[in-house]
Amino acid sequence: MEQIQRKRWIRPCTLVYLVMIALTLITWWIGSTAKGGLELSLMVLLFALVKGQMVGDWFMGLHFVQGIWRWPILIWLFVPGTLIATAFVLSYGG
Amino acid sequence: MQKNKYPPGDLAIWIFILAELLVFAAFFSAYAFTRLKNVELFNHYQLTLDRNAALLNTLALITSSYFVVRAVADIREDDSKGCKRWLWAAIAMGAFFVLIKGGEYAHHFGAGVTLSSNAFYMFYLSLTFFHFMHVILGMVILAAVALKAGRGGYSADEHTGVETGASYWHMVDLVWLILFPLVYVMR
Amino acid sequence: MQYSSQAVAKPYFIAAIGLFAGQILFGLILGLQYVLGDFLFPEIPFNVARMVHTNLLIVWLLFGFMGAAYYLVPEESERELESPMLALAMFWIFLVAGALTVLGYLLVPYAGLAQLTGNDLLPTMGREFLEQPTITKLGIVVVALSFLYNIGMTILKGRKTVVTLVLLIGLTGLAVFFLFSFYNPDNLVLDKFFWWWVVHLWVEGVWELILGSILAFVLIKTTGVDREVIEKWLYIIIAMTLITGIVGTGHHYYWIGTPEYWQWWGSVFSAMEPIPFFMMTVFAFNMVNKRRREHPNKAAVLWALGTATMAFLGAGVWGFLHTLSPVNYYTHGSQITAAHGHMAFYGAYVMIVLTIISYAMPMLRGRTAANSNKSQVLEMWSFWLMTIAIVFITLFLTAAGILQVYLQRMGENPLPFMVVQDKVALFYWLREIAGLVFLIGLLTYIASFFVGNDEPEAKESA
Repeated sequence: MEQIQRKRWIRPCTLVYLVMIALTLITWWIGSTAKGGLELSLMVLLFALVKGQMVGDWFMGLHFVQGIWRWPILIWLFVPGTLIATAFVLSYGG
Repeated sequence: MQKNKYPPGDLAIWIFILAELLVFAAFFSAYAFTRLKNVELFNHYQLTLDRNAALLNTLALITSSYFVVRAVADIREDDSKGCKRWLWAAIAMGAFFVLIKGGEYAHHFGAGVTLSSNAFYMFYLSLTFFHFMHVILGMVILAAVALKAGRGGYSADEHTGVETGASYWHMVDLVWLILFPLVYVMR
Repeated sequence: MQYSSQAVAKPYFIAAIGLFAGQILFGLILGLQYVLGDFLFPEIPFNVARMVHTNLLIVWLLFGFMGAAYYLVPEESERELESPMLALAMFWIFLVAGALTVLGYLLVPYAGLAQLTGNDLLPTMGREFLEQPTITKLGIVVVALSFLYNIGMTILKGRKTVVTLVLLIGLTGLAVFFLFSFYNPDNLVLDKFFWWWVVHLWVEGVWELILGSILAFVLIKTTGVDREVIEKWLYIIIAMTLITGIVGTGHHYYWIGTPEYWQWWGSVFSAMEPIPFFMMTVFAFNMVNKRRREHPNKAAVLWALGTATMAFLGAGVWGFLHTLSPVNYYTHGSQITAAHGHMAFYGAYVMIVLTIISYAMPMLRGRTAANSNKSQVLEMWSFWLMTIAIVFITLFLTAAGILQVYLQRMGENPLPFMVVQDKVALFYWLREIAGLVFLIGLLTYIASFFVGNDEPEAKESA
């Protein structure tokens, strides 16, 4: 099985890494315009949560775990993520 | 693909990681709801932060996390040398983060910013400093693992130590991935 | 008992129990003074009774910790104590100094005691829990240093285990933080700021390390579970304790004139303080469930499980109740604090000292592992009587506290303090009754040492 993995043109973790770099650059670019706005903020937050999930699944390796230990990072991202999103929606007047 | 019942590394570190994440989650939510009451203040002072430095730091942490993944992959194939090299590369990235962050702190403290300046700076300093301490602790842990790997202390059969250190370091990365957009970008 | 020098623990344990009885008597006097203000006045005014109640608690717990250290360190280090003579000498010095101090509180007006003991030279008196005359404080430092030397040398020259290492860190921290009782700045904010370094960093910091190591020792001995497993738990628990407990000091810095950021730091970190206590509960029950033997000393196992449970309830849950700054804004310095204080001190520290006494005393008195069944049954009765009594004391004080906060601080027309005290008097009466039950429990506990001594020892059941 490891032989097969070696023949792949790119490791999954490398692919994940490149996607995370791309999302980070977009986030930075949005930030550097300093425009802000609810839609952009929520998009940036969503990028962050996606990146967080990638770290949990592919870097920490929870993708290969089953049972309750599959979920703690996802739950962790979900709870403050929802609270932050709620606070930002409210700050734009509901 | 065979699935495991437990996450990689010592289960003890995972309990520790979850407790730490809980503290950060509380601080993140507190930031968002305090901002709600001081939107203009937060938007104003957010612009005084150095987003370019934050970008470099984000790239540094993601890259170092990636290096740690490669270190674990190497030791799973019984390659101690490769594992050691990736780990030291990850630590170098951590050192780069500390350097950049130190520069930011020097700039803000030079401008007379303290925890008592205003609510935004209170959160900015508390959150980033608490995270900063974790980066340093993570580097110490990675260095201990790298030294043992250098002595050939791990193998394909027994490398719980590498996975334990790796899991902790990914947590440090994970926290920053939320912290960066929340404090530097979202407005 | 494997090492003869472990025997020095015995007088420490006996003194601890004796002072414990004194603490409870003064607690009952105090409880009555809440409802009958002039009870025993002017012989024992409220402030003196309170001082004796709290000071005796601290002193007897210190006796208990020292006894615990003298008992478990030789066994863990696998060698005799560095100097049993020094340990005995310090016992008498500490006991006499403690007795003289309490007599000073009772016989001389406090201001007179300050003058008599030369407080002017180095003023340290007059602060809650640190009321001891400066000379007594110096005596405590001497005793603590000799004790640390004795324990430290034994540990360093012998086998080093995680249990002794954690214990040594805890005991050293205890001594170091006590030094802040000599720092008495004129600025009231600074005074309070560093006062908490003794008070908070003791009970929510280094004392928890002592608690953790004693509990780990007793569990290793009574369950037969692998030392490595227990030590790993101990590591995570103390790491969490220190992270949350040290910054958690901030929950005392909300309203004393310290900067505002403490409201965030204090709230967030101390909200996490229940986690290590919860882990301790899970840890203790897990270890007992995984036990590889049925230790004949059932009473000691019961005390150990009781500690883990009641510490979580008293320190964890009742602490969390009023630790967030928006809640604490209303509740600080009310009977809610008293409720938390009673259950936390009993659950965490009284019970851990009684755990180690329960485990060690049979051996110190010549048994091979445990007391007779008859004695153990009585001891378990005392466990339930005292524990249930403290639960009720806590519940009644919590009820009094909620009512107090509501009437005095929240309503449209807040009432004055003394008016509110009259209105909650019913709960104070109920608390006093629960206190009497506690006293009965304590007497039962003491009786268990005198009952069933001529009967055969309880045996390890299959």
